[in-house]
Amino acid sequence: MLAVDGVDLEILPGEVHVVAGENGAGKSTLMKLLSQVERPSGGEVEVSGEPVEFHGPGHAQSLGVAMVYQEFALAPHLSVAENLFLGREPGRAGFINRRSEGEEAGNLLRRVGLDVNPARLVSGLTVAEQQRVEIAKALAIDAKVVIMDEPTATLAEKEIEGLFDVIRDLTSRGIAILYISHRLDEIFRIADRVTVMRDGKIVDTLLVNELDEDKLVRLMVGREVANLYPKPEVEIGDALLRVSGVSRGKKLMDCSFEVRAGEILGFAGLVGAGRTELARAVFGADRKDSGTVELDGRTLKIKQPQDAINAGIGYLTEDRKGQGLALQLGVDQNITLASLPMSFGFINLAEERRTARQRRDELNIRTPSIRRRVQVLSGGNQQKVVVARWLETKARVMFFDEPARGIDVGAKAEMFGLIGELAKEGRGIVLISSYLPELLNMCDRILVMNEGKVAGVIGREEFSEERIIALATAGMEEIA
Amino acid sequence: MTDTGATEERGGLGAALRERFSDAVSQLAAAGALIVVFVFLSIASPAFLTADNLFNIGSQTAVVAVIAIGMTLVIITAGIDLSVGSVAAFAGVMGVMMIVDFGFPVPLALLGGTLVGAACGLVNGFLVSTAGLNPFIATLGMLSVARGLVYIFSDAQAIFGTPDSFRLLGQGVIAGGIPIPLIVTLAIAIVGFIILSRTKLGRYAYAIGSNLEAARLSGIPVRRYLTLVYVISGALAGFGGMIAASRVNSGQPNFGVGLELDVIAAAVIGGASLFGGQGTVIGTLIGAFLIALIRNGSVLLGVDIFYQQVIIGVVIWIAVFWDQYRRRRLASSSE
Amino acid sequence: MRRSRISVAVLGAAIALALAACGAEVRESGGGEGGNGGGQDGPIQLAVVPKAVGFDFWATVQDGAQCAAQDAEGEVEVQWDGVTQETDVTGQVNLLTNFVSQGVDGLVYAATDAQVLADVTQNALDQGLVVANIDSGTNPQPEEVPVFATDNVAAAEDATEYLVEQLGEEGGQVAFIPFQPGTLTNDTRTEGFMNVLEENPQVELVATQSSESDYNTALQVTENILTANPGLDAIYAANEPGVLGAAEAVRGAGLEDQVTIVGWDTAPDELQAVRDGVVAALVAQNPFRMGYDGVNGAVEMARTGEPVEGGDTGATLVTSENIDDEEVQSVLDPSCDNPPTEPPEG
Repeated sequence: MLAVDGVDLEILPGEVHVVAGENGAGKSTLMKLLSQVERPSGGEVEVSGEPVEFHGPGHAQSLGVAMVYQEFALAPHLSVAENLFLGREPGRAGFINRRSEGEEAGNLLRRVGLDVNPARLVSGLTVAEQQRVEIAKALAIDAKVVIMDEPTATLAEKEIEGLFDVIRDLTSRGIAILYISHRLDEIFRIADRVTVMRDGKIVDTLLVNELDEDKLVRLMVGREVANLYPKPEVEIGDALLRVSGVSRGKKLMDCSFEVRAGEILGFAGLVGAGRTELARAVFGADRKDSGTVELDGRTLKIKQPQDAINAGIGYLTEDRKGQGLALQLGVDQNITLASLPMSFGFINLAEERRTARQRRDELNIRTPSIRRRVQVLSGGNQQKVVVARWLETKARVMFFDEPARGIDVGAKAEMFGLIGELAKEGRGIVLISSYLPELLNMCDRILVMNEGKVAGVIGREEFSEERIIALATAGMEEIA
Repeated sequence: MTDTGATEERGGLGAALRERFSDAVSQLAAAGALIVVFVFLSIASPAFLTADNLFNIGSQTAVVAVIAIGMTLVIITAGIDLSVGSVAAFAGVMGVMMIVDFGFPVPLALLGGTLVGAACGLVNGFLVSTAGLNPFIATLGMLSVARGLVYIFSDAQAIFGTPDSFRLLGQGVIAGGIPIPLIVTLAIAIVGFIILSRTKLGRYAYAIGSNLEAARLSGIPVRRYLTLVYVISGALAGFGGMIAASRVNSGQPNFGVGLELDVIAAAVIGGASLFGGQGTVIGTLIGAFLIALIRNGSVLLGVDIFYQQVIIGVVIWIAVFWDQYRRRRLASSSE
Repeated sequence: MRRSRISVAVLGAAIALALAACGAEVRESGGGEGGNGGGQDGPIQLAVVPKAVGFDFWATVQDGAQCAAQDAEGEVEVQWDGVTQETDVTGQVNLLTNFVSQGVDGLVYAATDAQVLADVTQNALDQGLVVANIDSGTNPQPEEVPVFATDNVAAAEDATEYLVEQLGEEGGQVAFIPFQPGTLTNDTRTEGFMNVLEENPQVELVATQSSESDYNTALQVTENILTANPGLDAIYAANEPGVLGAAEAVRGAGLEDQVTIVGWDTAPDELQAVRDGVVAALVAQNPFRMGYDGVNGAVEMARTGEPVEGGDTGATLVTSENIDDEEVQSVLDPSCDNPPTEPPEG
């Protein structure tokens, strides 16, 4: 199967053209071909009616095609101005004209609505600010087409709105934006046209008002996805987990909440508000300065993850590859990692395999063999391995930290279905997510954090995006 | 963030086989190289296949092999132990001193030397797991400290006076011809194999090396196991030092300078990855014997000692290159 | 259960091991492919092994050995190899053991450790090889193994006498740089030095620091000695790295006129130091002759089966006055055409 197979694509000036598709559909590869980071093995590219030869990223930039990378291509130790003009420094005979560099930089920053001193180091900027710098780089080369790869993945709601403002500004000047995304609601907010890719091929290109969510998902996945957020009806019981007065330096200040049996409690808030930190503090992954944790009415003494696990609390990390999985170990070994089956001081390999097979069938983990290294599984299946591990520990309270990040639409639905089932079985689930539609659909209550404090808890009857955003950003300054 | 998980499982059974195969190939490649070198030397030198020479190889490899098994455990945790050469010398000298100056019976002194090594390993383990020092730095310090201690305790002079029974470990034979050091090596290898494949220590070592944070968040007492790993490495270095002392029937304070390089090379050639999470006892044994064959064969073929260094270095490059190549393929196959 | 099967196997192996261990013994030298001790006419293969390769001294030994092999009757092949550090005792043991297994007819070598290498020599003799020692023998030294070396004690005494002479009646302070205490060569050179010092109380020994046969170490310790003893008048260095390091330190401190250096060996840099006046006198051994006599001795023993006697290969005191004399030059710059196989006059 080719990564990109016979793609015909047309970008019009001043349009926001979204390329949508699952992971592995070929979107990123297509962008790499257009920005000349990779060489196509066939086909032609034209810019402004002129055919284009492949010479590398520099050539693409000289033609006016700029790429804004997900992991920004910025040098953190250099200043904003230096980054903007990297490779194109103004000056002669090897000397750099710093003054004009600074002035030019200031102009560019104004155009993207970023109010920072161009002499500041990039490492000191927030993620959203760094992204604006990336966009300013595109303007620096006088781009006609700006390609953005999942630009909102690391932004908070307010910042996303700011980004969309900039995009609208750029398109009003005739610059085309090629925008990769799989976030459905954003597509409908910003796109003029949508091209859907699947398995390396283009499925269709449509105007955005010719699409609705169901149709878009169907085109992306290739089949009906009944329900993106299958939340079952659950009878919610009494409080299972009670957390009171947890504090940790400036990161967490006197946080309290409770999770009931059968309930899915969401944690919402801006990046850095303290959601992950709160979960980790309860789980014992970080030391807390004060606070108590009660499970089933019993006060727990949690100094390290081992204590939490023994008590029946599980924590699925935000970054499964970085913190959740031992990539070189097998599926079975990862599943038993927190609860090795022993006999007479040796690992019971037979039982380990039995357990792994059981969970594989139960959770529908797609892998031909449970001995395979977990590294080669797809994102969704890797996530299931992590879930299996926590099921093995007989966890009664489970914290899911961004469980659907980086997973395909189809797999996402499966994951949420699983979470729903787990809740139905009487567990208490905490769902941490930066994507509001997820929370609004799956949760019974949503706890909103704001700068280390619990800003408020909203019940399902009162769910609304505005309320959540309001609580999350109360007392904050606008991004310039 | 664009995920690198595939939408569908790629390749199914074929890919699974290929992956296990790749693991095995890494060891097979080393084993294959071993066989090729063995056959080549048998043909190129009539003296190679003699009982005498094979005996020499078996005995001479023991020190490196035994210590390399401990090193493998450390490397699996994504660590490294640069101090093994110095610790081996230190333990060897102390063990001999126990016999000569304090009248210990030989078996007790062997234990004593091993414990000296373990103590050094404990310090290393503490520095790495609790003080949070980078293993390279921590063991580099121990390399210097242990070497200095040897010179202090021995006055920089070789120590003689051990009874004949002391030579058994490094020069003895059983059943008319099998060298004891070889048997000892195999025994330790078997224990090492069992530890890696069937015990918590082994499993947790792989997990810690593969993903330290994941291991911690899975409730594994990382500090404890990390310390234990270095203690074992130190103990085996100590025991290896005793074997070496037994081979020259004396405590040699200058022994083992640069030994860690051969030890690390053996583990790496055998498939252990310095990034952690990978490594086997069999592979390490193969690596140790491969290096020994190269050294032995070089003498038989009249190849200069300096060329030996070059050859071994190139072999290391090839082994590591293969390992990197494999990791990249594995990582990209999950895209 | 599988697990218990493994444990039974391990237990069984352990028991078997323990039983077999009762029959353990140190290996007696088995039948090797070594040469026979009864004399032979055919081609002879000798392994010639210095203390270490990479030093000028040993390179000259190699020249002598190869010269002898060339000039000898019949076919004689010299295989030269060594470890990289004079302190790598285990390495030399392994090397010689491998040579023996390989089937050479004889060993001509300089022992890095007298006691440890005695075993190796005995093992070789038992397998029918001939053995000759050069520069450093073993302890014990078997009767049938000749030693071709410098009489280090006598040569050391000569050198020290010269040093004392240079200091004159008032005497002065002297520092000593040995290289490997515990080895025969080192200790005999020390012995001669100490003997003469005893008889000359006007000369005082103020510092002793080993160079560990390493140039950089010698440089450092000498610098430190100079700092600690600003009134130092002389240095006695027992081998090449020591002399070079001391000379460099003295040069660096600008004390060439104040400090008299007397030492051993004649590497080109050392000779240059003599010409420059930094070093007063060097004990020139005859490494060429060691290699030459050593190989010849081994060949004779192999051919005739009769033991051969060792000998003093001689030492010459080289100063700036006699450095260009023909006889001295033939020792300093030996060649196979004009081998310094007779000790020069004086």
